[in-house]
Amino acid sequence: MSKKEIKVLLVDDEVEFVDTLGQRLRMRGLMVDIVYDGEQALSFVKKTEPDVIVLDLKMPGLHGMDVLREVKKLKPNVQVIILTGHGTDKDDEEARRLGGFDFMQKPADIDLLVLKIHEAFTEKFERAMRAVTFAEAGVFDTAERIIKKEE
Amino acid sequence: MRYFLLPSTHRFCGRAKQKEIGGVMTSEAENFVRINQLKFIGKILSVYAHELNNQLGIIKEASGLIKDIVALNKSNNNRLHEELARPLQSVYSRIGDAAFLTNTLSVFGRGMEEETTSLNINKTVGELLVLVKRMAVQKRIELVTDFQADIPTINGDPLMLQFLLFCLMEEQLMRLKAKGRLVFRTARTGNVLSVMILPEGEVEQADEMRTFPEEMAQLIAKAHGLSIAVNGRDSRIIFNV
Repeated sequence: MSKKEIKVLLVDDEVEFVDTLGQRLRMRGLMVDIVYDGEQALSFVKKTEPDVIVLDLKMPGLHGMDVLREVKKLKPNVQVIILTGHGTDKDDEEARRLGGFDFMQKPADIDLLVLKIHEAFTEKFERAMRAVTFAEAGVFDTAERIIKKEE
Repeated sequence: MRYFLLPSTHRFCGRAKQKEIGGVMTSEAENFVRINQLKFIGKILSVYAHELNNQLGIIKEASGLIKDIVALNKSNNNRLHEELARPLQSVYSRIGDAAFLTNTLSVFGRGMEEETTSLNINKTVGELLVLVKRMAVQKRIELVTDFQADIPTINGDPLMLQFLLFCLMEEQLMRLKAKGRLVFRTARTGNVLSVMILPEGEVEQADEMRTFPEEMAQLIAKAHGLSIAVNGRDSRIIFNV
């Protein structure tokens, strides 16, 4: 599997920050889409399925935590990494409780972020493979629970 | 209840036992104002730190992009790469250090808004040390941590713990001579957690705390279910869990 297959959606209202970050991630072989608020992120996820979302918390309009909650309802197997400059331990716990993959402080080291994106993608891929195995065996309930991270 | 604000908050100082309402503030009203002033300062600190952090984020990504472009074009212009690589790395890593400071300040500010929360003592002490490091550096004193790894999370007021630690630390910084070390140790013995501030080096002995009255520190600690032990050599805050 090549890096180019990983589809990343960046969600952040700081346009200059997220555009530059997107450019740097593309230089590292990732397919990057960018939206600038939570509402745009949800519209995007309804239309297509990114592998990994890198999501800011404190944005005008919909808060990142609400976006995470909705994304997990819409597409439970999409991985979400929180990247925030305003996060506490409590936010970290809440994001993980809602199914977030990781919680990072902004500005993050680019290599570390790329590593986390790859880890998130790998976990998603492996989970999908397990779900397929169960679905092919006709055990659909278990397959669904795997996708929803309930198992 | 009606509260009446006086033109200057300085006028409130030293009037802890006023009883009248109407034009002047009661001690209860003063406490209300003080607590909300602290929350206000916390919010401003937190929002300001967040703003700074956003700016640092943009600068970090922009400098990172320049670094990436220079690295990509290394084969075309090796001399330019060599000349730019070091200062760019310096800019990049210093922005990271500055962002770490503003993140810590943001978390500290947000801590002022909440009174009781689940807290990790090692992390709470560590955050305070990030913010006060400069005070020790100016006195040529090294702040050292010696944290026990498996300290359980407790329920408490992180800001109050940091405040007490700050008072004790400031006292020790005053007594400790230059080139000394101040060791912040956390330990668990049975159901007791303790945070110790242990000076190493030449220490001036004193009968009482000079920076903050010990009785006041004891009262604050007691109100939060903590106990403090202060003596000439070290200061301890004890938690019973």
